[in-house]
Amino acid sequence: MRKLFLYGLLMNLCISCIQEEPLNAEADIEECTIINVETGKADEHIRGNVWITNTKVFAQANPNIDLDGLALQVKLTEGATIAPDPTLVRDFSKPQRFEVTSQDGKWKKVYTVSIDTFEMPTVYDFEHFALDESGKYHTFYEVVSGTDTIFNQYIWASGNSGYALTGVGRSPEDYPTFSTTHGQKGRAVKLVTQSTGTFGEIAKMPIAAGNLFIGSFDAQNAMKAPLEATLFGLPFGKKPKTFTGYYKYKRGRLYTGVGGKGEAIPILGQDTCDIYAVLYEAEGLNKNSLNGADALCSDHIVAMARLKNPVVYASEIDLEEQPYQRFEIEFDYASYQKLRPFVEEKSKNYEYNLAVVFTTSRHGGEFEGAVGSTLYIDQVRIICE
Amino acid sequence: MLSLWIISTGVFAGEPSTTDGLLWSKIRGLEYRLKAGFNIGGTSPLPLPAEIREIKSYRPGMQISIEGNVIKRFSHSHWGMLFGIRLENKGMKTDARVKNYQIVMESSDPENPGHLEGAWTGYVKTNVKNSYVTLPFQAVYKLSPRWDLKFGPFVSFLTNGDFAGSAYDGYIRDGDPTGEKANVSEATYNFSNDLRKFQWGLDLGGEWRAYRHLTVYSDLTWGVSPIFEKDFKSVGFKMYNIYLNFGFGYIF
Repeated sequence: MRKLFLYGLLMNLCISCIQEEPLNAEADIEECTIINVETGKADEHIRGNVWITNTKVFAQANPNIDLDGLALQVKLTEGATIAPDPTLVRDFSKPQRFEVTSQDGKWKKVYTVSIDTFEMPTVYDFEHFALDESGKYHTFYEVVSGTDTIFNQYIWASGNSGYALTGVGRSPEDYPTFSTTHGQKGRAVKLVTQSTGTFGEIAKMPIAAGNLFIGSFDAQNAMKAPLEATLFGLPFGKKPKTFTGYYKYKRGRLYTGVGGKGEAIPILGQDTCDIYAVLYEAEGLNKNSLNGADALCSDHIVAMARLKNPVVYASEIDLEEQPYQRFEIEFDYASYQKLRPFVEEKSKNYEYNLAVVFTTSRHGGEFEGAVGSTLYIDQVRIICE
Repeated sequence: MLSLWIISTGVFAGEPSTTDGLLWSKIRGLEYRLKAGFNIGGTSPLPLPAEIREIKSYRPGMQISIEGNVIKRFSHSHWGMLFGIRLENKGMKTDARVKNYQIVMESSDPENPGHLEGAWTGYVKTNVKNSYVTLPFQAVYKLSPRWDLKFGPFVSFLTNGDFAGSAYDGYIRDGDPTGEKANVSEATYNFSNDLRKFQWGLDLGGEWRAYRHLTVYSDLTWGVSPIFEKDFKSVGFKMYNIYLNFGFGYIF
């Protein structure tokens, strides 16, 4: 009885000291719809998803969209404010910047909103990269020249933003995905399977495969559902025929899986890289995208070009000294013909997405791979009919 | 349990233990007591910071204490002095909801580096079970033939520390509230190695003599030094041991 009384007393003591809830400190754009001011509805010329990262809003649109007749309808973190007013018409022929201020007024974040009306490029030389907003790692983009503008197309994504959380990377070259000067021509992209250190282990994700893909990385859900966080593909209006490029690859020394405490433990197997391009029908898919879990087996696939037997160097080889290997792979439509035949009309309407995917560890999504597996990629082309 | 008993009784090893010895002690105003009790309370920041939004559950668990006292009564006075040795556990299990709880975690293993810094919003489970050897040193005031009031400092030495738990169902923002957001289903932590080995605090208590040999006592032990080392910064605020120690005593 006495114990019960004390227990109650302490609980009361605790509860009575809970302070008043502080105002929200976050400043996010949680949702964003691109509105055609004439119709007052979501603009129909937007192709596929409006992607929102921590600092960017990015959408693709048909060229006949009226870029100076658009406004935004945004959902912010509760209590946050945005300036300038996004509901007013703005000229989106160039990227627009908005500043979101948190409810408590202490935090501000600038978002860049860009609407890309150019075709998705099919030539990838990996000459263009930048540090992300936090200054920690490299991000890749393509550049197109319009009549009077140069436009950056943020088509490439990687898992770097997830890796940043572990605090293992001290410089961009410690991350799984970064730019290198050792290209077949000019710069190239270098992918390395990295250890995620103590905090990766805690999350039962002891390694991070190097990856780069056309699409978007859902950093928010990378720890909960890592395979589903790599959203592959963007709308594509042509019929791809051949996938070509240059690569060189070596596998890391020790192939590991995930142990009971989340640590890397040696398992049977050998690491292999994966290089493929896939065309698929977006409609009806979760988030209108294929992801790491279903990109190779979905019944939405229309065509696939995948490097079957990559040349693999041993771990002790200095890969920098080795020549690049060329690959040239025809898109296979025949295997998917029955379930998902290619339809010219759908292609022209951008109902198909194209994904190009590179990774150092085929089973990196399940955190199986070898730390040190390294893949260089350069001079990649998608040749269309 | 048995070993605790042996250690406790060992305190008296140098003292006379026969009835004659007790008589000898009584003449000199010395009294011996053996106590057994429980600790109930919290290892907690004070006051609770605004980041803690809700205590979902609190369980004091079974925290026992065994104590031996020597009391010296001054003749023709209500006053006396108490010296003791207490072997005790202080612990609890809590489950709390937090908002923008700033954490910094550094891996101590150079082979397996890592640095996690950010604002956590979600739930935090904490499981504390620390064992201490505590030496109370108190002034005793005899309120009535049956009532003693006690007040004084204590020092505690950590003999075994366990401070661990998990953060679950929430998200962390990298660095500050505008950083990259990552949803987390569960991540465990263990700060056992960062606990302070030596602490001190204040003790205010009372003891009631129910029978000739039996007392009932209760002491509020208030930690003045925080439970973690000075350079510990994983949790953004200092935490203290605040426990009520209560139980029964036997007077020899």
